[in-house]
Amino acid sequence: MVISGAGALFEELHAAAEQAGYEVRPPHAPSAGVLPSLAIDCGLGQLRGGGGAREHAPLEPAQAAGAATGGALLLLCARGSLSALDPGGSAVGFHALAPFAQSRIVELTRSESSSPVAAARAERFFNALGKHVVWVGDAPGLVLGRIVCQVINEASFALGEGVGAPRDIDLGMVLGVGHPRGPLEWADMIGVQHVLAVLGALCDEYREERYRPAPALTRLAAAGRLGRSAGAGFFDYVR
Amino acid sequence: MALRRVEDEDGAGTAGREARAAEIIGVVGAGTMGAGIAQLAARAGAQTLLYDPVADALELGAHKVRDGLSKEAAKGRITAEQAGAAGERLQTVSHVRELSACELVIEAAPERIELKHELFALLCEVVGEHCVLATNTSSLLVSAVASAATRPQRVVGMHFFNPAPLMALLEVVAGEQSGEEALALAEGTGRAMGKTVIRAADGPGFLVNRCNRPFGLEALRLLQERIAPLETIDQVCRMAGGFPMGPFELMDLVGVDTGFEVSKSFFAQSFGEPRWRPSAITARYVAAGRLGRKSGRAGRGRCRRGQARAPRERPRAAAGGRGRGRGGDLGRGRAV
Repeated sequence: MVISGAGALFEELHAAAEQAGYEVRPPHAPSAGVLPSLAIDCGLGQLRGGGGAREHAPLEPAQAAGAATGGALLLLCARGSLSALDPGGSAVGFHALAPFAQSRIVELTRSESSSPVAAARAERFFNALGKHVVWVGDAPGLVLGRIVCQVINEASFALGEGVGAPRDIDLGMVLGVGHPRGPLEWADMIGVQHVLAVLGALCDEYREERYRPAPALTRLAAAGRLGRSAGAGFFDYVR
Repeated sequence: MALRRVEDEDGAGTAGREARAAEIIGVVGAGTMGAGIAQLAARAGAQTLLYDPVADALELGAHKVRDGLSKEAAKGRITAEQAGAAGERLQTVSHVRELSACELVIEAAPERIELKHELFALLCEVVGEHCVLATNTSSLLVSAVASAATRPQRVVGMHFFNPAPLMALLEVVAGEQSGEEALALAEGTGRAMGKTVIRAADGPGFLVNRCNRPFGLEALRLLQERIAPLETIDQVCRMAGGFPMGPFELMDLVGVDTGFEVSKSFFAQSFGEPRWRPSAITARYVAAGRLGRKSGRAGRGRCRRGQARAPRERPRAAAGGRGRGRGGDLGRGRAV
């Protein structure tokens, strides 16, 4: 199989696939021998600069690989819904958040034109990784991604408005309303770029102010504080 | 990956600060919340004066405190002696003027601004000038409650979570005019009660309830757009997100009508923040009398487990059954 993209989920998915015994190739590797049975793209797109037009990173490598697998292409619905990422195409959509290891369900979505082969292979792939799958309707971030990214967005607005210190925000959400981890710590785990990809896509597709990313988030990204993997996000990290 | 978070003192919030705790605490309102707070105060070693204008309510509240203390002793959280001593520190009072010696008075009266204004004006007449007055409001602005006080710098918010004796968190809320000394006493007292204390600025829902808004409101949008049925949304939140409860289970627990009132209050107080727009679905549920657990007619049905397909279960059948698998029928969003 082929996995392309970037971010914490990409890294975890790559490792999990190899651990489950899949031969994982980079998207540009020459297809010697057995053709890949599944191509997964976890691209998050380019970060939006100063309110300009949103630029999607090219899908070509993964799509080319998808074509070579008889259309078994699986796209992360972060920077767009499946129908925005692959209009009229045969791909299947999925979404998950880091920490992927702790997730027991992966959400999948498909369109009228999605390939049944891709759908079956996507289910089999996640099942082999020990995950349940659930089919949901198409939208950026699907179900969990939308809820969690909006909780992170609200926490970021609250932070920017001086409602609480970062540590207090996280403590409050864990101890007050039982969230599995604080929204700012979670943003650092997911990666600020992934969170902004989902919010940006919701903004683009719904055109509602409701999904406007908080300045505290966009400024973090502009400063290169992209989360744990970058060594800094809302919090600082040391090895 | 051995990444460790750097604990930055500047960003460390309030939890580490040292502050004094009040030794004589008055609690106004002997309902569930007031009794819970009185239990915490007595257990923390403070002389605790519980006041309620309704004699029966006061008696019932005092009984709840003693009952709560014996339950804690039975569960081994405190010793029987500690429970007994805490019980002896509790005293009921039938008039506000008996609260005159208090260093801190925590108000847990019904959420009506006129009532709270009346109480705070009265309290200001009887307590000493250094006494801190705290409101346990969750839906009114602390600044609004404080406006009836002669010394608004002595008024703060102490937002306990229900059930107060068990929940680990206390949100100390700074109103527009709250003074640092008053906030420090509230924080110190909270920590003496065994709480993790966070500080929040005044505003709709303060910190916690505000940041948790999207958990319910986005779930309602997903339902409205038929992205997934509510059982699936709950299940995904629990099993993929690690939340202890799905958003709809939580709405049923709180009461759909209560949640709707909170939603309307957020929207009104923010002058129409789009992220906080109440859901038309909730309005419909309330209109239909589907109020959650308390009405016996849940806003949603009982959670149906096992909607997601188990690993390795029927992978072949699923290949051709587009949109027909378990969890696929409603999940495709056309048959909710």
